[in-house]
Amino acid sequence: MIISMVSCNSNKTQKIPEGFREIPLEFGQGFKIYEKEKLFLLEIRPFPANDQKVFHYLVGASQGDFKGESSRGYTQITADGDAIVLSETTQIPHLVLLDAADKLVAFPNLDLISSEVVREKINQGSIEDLGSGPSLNFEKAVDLSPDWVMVSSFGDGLKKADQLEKGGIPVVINNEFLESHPLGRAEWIKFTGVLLGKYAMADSVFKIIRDNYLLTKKVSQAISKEKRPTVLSGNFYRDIWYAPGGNSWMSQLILDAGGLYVFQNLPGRGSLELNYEYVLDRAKDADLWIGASDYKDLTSMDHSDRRYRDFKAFKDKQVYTYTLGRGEKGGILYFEEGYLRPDWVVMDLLKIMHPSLAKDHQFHYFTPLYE
Amino acid sequence: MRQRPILSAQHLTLGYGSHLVTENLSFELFEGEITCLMGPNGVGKSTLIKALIGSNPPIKGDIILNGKNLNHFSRGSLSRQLSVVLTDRIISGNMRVKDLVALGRLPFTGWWGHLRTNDRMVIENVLQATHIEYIKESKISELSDGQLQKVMIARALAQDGKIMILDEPTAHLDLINRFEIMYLLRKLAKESNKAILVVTHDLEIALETADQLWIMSCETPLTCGSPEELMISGEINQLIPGKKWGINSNTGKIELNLPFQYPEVIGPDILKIWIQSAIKKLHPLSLPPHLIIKAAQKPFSIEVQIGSINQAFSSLSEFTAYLKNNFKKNS
Amino acid sequence: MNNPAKHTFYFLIGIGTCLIIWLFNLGTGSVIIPVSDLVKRPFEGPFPREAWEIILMEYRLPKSITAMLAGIGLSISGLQMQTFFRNPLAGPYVLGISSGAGLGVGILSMAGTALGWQTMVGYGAGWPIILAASIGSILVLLLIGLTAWRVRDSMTLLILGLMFGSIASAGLHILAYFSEAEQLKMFMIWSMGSLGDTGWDQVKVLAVAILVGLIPVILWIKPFNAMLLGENYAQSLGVNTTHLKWVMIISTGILTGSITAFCGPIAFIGIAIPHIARMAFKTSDHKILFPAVALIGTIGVLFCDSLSQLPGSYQTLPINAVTTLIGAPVVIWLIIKRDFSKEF
Repeated sequence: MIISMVSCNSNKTQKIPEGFREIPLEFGQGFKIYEKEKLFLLEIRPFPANDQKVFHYLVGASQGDFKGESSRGYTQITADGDAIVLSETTQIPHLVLLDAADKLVAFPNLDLISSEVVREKINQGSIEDLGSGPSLNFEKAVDLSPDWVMVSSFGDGLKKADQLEKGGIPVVINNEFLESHPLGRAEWIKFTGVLLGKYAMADSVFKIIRDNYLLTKKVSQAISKEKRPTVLSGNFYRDIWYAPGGNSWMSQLILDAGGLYVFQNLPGRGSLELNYEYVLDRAKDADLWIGASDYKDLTSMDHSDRRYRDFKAFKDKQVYTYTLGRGEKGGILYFEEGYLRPDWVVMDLLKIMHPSLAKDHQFHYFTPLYE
Repeated sequence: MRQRPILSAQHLTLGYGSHLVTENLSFELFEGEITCLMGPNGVGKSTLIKALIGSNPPIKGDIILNGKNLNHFSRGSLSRQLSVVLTDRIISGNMRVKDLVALGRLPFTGWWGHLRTNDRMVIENVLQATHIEYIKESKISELSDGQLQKVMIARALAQDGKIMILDEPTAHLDLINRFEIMYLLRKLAKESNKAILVVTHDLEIALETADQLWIMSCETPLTCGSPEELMISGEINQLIPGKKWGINSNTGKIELNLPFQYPEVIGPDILKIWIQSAIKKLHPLSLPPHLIIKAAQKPFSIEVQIGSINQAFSSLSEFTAYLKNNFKKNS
Repeated sequence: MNNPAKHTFYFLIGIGTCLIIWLFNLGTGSVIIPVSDLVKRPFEGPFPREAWEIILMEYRLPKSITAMLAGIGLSISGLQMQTFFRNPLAGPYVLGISSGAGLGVGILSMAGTALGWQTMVGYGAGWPIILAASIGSILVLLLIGLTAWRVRDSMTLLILGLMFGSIASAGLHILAYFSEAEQLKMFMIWSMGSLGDTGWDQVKVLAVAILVGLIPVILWIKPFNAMLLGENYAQSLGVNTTHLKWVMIISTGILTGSITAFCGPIAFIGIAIPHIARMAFKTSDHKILFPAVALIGTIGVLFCDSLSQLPGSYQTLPINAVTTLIGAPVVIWLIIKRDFSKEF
């Protein structure tokens, strides 16, 4: 039996619960892990710009571990369950890397998933589709009565979570998308690890990713400012240019791969909405254009908006998209896996910006566009 | 012998689609005459007007305009023969009088609507004829109802057709404007030799000004004739359905048909009429059959012989009070 | 008092204002190009700064022409509808015509995705989208026409328009529900309206469409004056009101449809500009009003676009939000302050 209750403590300067010891994180800002004997306590912390509640999840390996422990009103989760539901494709590779794909019983809109391991299970019919609408099918989810559901607080995620809680299903909030440092985002594998009872494994997976990433960063740090190419990112939707903000994940990656991001000085963790004139004035002469939507070639790009021609990177055919890896149903692998594998993303970027420094690297996600 | 009618029809059937409104209408409209179309509400006057202006053709029968079937006129050529003044509200209060009148020249101008010298002359003439030159620069929203009606008539005149049809042009006007408008129309009919058809409920004015009456009633489809003819023949009473009301063939007024006789008042004309009118309002009284005014002086004082009694009164109210007190029914 | 002379004077003032606002519009944005440089540009050739050159020639010039075309088309649609419905509160946006155009575009883009055409994006795709939007507009107009043709009461007409607009929006929402995230986003952005998405190719297409939409108005300009007296009087003046009805529907449909297709819904221009023109020119003669409305509409949309560019910043406000912020108070003021019968 699981007692399902969300603690709604909005006190942000919370002390470590008595008897627990913090396991410090290296990059992640949005959660904390505490430990006490056989128990883990996960804490979802609000980001400064994001006025959110604090959530706590008490995780034990099995039901017996909670004995003698006050629930404090926290959601209790047993890590030995075998039926979980995820709601975002970015959560999928966590299961794959932690060797727990078997536990996934349902997901909204299965066609979005690209991971080969999970696709095989889908084809075997062992994963339920929770509907293709913008919100997951509540009734089906309740009917499956999974051990827990992971929901992103993006959009109306929290409302969704609340609804599921009322349906008696434990919900964990995943705020991974709010992390602006690529390694911070990847570190969320520890969060999933705790929930699956595989913290040690998650820790070692993260260490590999971190070491790879930092190695690339070390290489690129040696590159002088003059040798760094200027990088443009994003594309038009009608006459608004959407580009990653200066504090975003992508911005950090460009920097760590030895590039100069043209919108570095515009604050924003998420997407910027820029007007054409500004973009043209700022980025007309940028050397590289990385992350230009999902165009299949330069011709179709030119066809969709003739103003792309005004950019040097386009004229020089230095346009890269993230569409190299695709799943069986056409999903873009980068969007699913890239956030957990910044080490691969940064290597891809290094190869684009400084090919001589990454001769042996094979592109994972990025590809140049041809005519 | 009168001239050939400009507009006529024999045995028309009117209605909308399969819904019959009225049938067997025959009439003739002559130039230089005012014709008043009268009849109770719902008898089909509007349907007839719509048929005449070509917007709802008859189900059966032909309307002949100038010797030609009305159906064979194009909208444009019809608009040069026939103009209208309707009850539709004019919402363009921003428009100036002269511009509204100028709209009457629309059927004669090219696609851009440019007014030529001739058009301007016609406009000047109708402004004069309708006595509205002095307000030609005014906005429609600044006009009184009577002025607006004259402007609308001027606009219809500017259309320069032989026929003008007006739908209740005097409906919302005060007493004096009602006469003004009708006499204006009469003058236009005579001076410019127009055939003018006026829909009206105003019996008094119709009797006074019309050359012809067209009376529509529920029983008989359409009766034509001069007001005087119809008055004498009593056909005028078709205007009034039922037996409760009637038209006094002496005065042309509508009166209650009462089952008893009023006393006859004998005396000077003005006194006779108005004392009779006052006595009617006192009803019911049991009065002798004759009241004879023996003497009258100004300011008001009269001596009246009532039956066998002679009595003097210094005011009309004294007189009526006396009658009320002394001739109560059943007293 | 000499009206023609006064009107000529007003037109000259209007053209002057229009030129000034146009120069201002060309000069301001994220990047400020001084007016002195702008004026020299036609004589001295391209700017030495290449970014200025591209911004002016490839972005601001087509954008300003789109703004002008939108101003002309929407205000003339509004004037036609107000005269025809004899209703001072009629206009392409309030009566749901823009929503109808939106639905047309939505259906086309859905069908396009299903059949593998690129419809929402792409410079090549101009005509299909215009056609779809025009058909959508015309359908809503027909529906309003069928139900409200004889409704003289402003409020009833407005409520009917609101209802048809809602139905069209509901249709759009259902479409959006079934479309993919990418398309949905496209749609959201589209519904905010924008003038800057039209390149030269599209400006050409739009200009031709606007011209086609204006031709019936120019040919039937005289009957519109007759319509001021109402349908019955117009008929008695020899006007074929059924023809005129179609002229109004087709012209408004093409004008509103093509503008909505390229720029998204732009609110309140169609309803507010004709009133401003009537007040300024103090006439109800359509021979004066149509050009006046076109001129003031041009000024109005150029002005709103200049504001939406938030000169100096790196962001742009949706044009629809700006026209609403400016146009809605004008309409509210009209409703409260004015006796329409005096100004119509």
